[in-house]
Amino acid sequence: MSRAQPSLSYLVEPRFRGGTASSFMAEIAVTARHARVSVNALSGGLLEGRPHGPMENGLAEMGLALDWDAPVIAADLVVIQNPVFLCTCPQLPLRIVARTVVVVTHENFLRPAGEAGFDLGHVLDLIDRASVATSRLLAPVSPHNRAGVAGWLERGRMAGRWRLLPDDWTNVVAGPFLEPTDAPRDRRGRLSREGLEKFPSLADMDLDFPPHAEANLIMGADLLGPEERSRRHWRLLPFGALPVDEFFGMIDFMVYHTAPTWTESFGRVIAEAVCAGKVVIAGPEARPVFGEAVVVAPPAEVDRVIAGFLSEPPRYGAQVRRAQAVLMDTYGEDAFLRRVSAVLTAGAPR
Amino acid sequence: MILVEAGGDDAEAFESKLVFAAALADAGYRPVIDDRTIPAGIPGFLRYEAAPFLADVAHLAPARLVMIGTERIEASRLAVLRGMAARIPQAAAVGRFARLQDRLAATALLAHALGREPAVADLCGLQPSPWPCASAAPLMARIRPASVRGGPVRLLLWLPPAMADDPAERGALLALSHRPDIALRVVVPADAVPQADLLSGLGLACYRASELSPGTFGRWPDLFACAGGDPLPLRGAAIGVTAVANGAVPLDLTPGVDLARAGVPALRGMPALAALGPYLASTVLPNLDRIRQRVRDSLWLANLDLQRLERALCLDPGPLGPGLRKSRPPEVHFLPTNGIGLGHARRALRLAGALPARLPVRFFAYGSCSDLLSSSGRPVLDLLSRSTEHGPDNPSEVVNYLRLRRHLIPGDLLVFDGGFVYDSVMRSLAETGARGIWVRRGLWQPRQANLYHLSREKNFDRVIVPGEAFPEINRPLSWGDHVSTVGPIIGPSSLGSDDRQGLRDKIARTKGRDFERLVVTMLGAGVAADRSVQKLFLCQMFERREDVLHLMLAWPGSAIDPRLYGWRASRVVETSRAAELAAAADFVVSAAGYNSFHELIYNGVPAIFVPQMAPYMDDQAARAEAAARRGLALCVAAENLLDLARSVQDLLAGRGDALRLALAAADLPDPGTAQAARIIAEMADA
Repeated sequence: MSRAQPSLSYLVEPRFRGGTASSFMAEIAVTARHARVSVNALSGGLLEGRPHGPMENGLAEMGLALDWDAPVIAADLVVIQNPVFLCTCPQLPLRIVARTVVVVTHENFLRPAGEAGFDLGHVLDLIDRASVATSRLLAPVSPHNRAGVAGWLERGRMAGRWRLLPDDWTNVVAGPFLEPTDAPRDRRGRLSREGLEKFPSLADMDLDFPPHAEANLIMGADLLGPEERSRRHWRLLPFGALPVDEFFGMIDFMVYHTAPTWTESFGRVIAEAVCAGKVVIAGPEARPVFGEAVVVAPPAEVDRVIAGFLSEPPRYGAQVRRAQAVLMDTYGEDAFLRRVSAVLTAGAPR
Repeated sequence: MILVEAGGDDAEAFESKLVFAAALADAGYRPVIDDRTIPAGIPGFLRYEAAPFLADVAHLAPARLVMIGTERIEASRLAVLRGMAARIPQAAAVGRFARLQDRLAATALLAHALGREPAVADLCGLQPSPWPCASAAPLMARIRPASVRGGPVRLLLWLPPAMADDPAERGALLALSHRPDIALRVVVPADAVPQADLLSGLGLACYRASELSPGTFGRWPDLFACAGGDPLPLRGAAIGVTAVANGAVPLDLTPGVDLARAGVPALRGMPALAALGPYLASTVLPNLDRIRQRVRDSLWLANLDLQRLERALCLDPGPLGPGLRKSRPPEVHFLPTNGIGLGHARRALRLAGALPARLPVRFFAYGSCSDLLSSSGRPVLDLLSRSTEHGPDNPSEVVNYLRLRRHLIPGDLLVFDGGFVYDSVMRSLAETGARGIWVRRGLWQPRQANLYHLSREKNFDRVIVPGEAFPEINRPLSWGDHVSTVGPIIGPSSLGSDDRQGLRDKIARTKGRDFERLVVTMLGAGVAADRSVQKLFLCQMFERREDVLHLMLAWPGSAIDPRLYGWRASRVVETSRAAELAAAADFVVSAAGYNSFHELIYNGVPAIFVPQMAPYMDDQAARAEAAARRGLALCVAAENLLDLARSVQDLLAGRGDALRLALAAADLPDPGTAQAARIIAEMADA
């Protein structure tokens, strides 16, 4: 007789709108086939007052209901996605009963200069005090993210209570993978949430999106100021102004650099661009996550890189196909299951 | 240069920036505030306090940004800072962070906007028990030793309006103000206008909190008392912090002992002001040195020290450090205001001329009297005249404030001659430590709202009231040892009889018209006194007479009605020597301004006075009528042209001789110019 499916209960913040939300939706599409899944959410918290993101609708389409403010979450495995939303909660108004509690650390614990990204100690304390579990695991989402979590654990007081999952709890990138164009043009763009951490300096933005480019489409520009708005050759759009596929249909090159005070823990938008059949040019911090799927170049070299692809269009298609292969291999459903199966099966009833 | 920013962009955040910038400036730094961050509709008084710090930062490269109130950052501020990030090499975030998460989140926002990590100062740790006031500004100041000074103990009392409205409390304040061992100043909130007028009217030195900067208030007292149950607004708290940092002992008279409960090392007194006098006399004053020492030894005061924040942010004012001051010998500065005529400027010239030559004298001059004052050969610093072109809130006065503030130093003596003490004058006097004399007219209109005008007397060390020629119209309005009423301040007799005839001959030559009668008109000009009709009327009268030359005097460069030109008997004369020409005349048709009036009366020149009256002017009608009652002059209302014609005809027919005789025999008080100059010189030498 085959082993029964484990119960897997997620605690999520459905008001997340960016990479955390879309990665969770991709993940649950996989885990729902291998576990009895339920999804919980808490009102209040960091994003109190914000409108709900697309997560709630996505779950409904999968036939899953979002259970708000349950007093108890009990499952073989409880997975808390991106716990930063708990950082302003004075206490956790629920009990967690599980064999294993996994905290997926989407948000980097440390910023590049070593500053704490958020009050993780408080968050883990909350979870610690609210849960009855045989094992508590921290699950980084990328090598860079892992380094931060490990560093934090080493110097903190939580090492005895929380263990680091040996494999990364990576994003699931399931496609669809679109064909690249065979006639790329100098149409550049970038897509991110609106936070200023997502944007490099103004000088670097000027290099990434110069006046001579045929198009410079910047979506997520809600918080950019008068300096940026004075660039008449930029088309600035608020986050969510266009459907993502429509946005990618308007560009050929995704140019993605961030503030020097910030590093993407995963960078899901890069994966989305690759899936959409675009060449992604990004900073060196993207290399450990995406390998050959990105073209690494600093802002000063973006022009040269793009000119190279435009002068040899077949290279463009080759780069996109190579990138898509990397993603399928590294972040496909099978790869994800290989990494997390130990945790899933460890939680399964015998 | 430190760019001071705040997380918020509202008026409260702006005022917090001003308070912090002032504390930095006091510690020897050069803070600047982005002039684009002035919120719309801020009260006018904040413009004065902001002016020294405002800068067009789009063209500056500040060495450092210090953001206060980082616990609440508006996205709009971040967007602007992001645009300036490349020009700001260092940044610091100051906030009162209730939780670690608040600090991390706030500093991350700033870091991302600037592209670099800021230094962080958490006021919760640096100053666990702040002065009780919700503010983005760190309420800290450089700790300075209390200045040792003799005389009565200076008590600054923060008074809420409700207490000022209470007759019993007002009575207690009055009693307190009469104690010889206490020098009392009362500060009411900025919007407590009726209360301030009421208390000023009682003779109390009462200020609205908007009249001076918090730092200026705070550097004055030995005791700072806080009364009433209202929470102290930011200005009040900033005054208290500056006061205690400069050695004042805090007195908590609040019903809820708000200061003491917040940890301020304050003496607790009874909330009723009636108890304050005995409490001060029996408990506080005899032990003041010991009490002061206890405050200075307190941990609270150590935590108030701005140097804690400076160290946390690695700030260094540089080699100049705090307290840098220009060095030059003290000077006597005259600042005459000039409204309708040039009376104030002419009086200032006279007083300056009567001072001992050893005293260095300088003038501050508004545009219209700049030439007159320059003619004295003394240095003149120009001030900006008001203009409707400048927009609302008199921005020219803010510019003047900056000029005065930059120029005056402790020990200087500013002699202000004018009816209303401008904010620029009041603030610069209080801030620079210069001493002040107010030369204030003694003749006010009966219903003029004088309380507000008079309340500004408190900013001056002395008041000189130039007397009127006729005692019944002397209305000095305030009394005391500091007020000196002197005889009329007039110039020396302008012409001897030979000189007079010589001048008449010269006039006839230069004007190409022989005359038997010389008539001079000095009716003034401008919005308050458009006398074009009267002048034209006189031109028409005299045009029919071959024996008359009529000179219409005007200040060089002033606007002159073109219709006054082209007459045979009447000529426009632009001159700064009006008194001489008037003395040469057979009679004068003149307004009854202080200088013209007294020069004519004392020089024995027959005159028809046509008073100018406006709500903000002195009572020219009363002055002219006093002379007419005594048979020393004729007085005609401006609108009564037939009376004017009759009076002119009378004088042309010979009545002027009778007036001349009466004037020669008149019993007039001695001129007061020398006495006023003596008072000024004594103060300058003190």
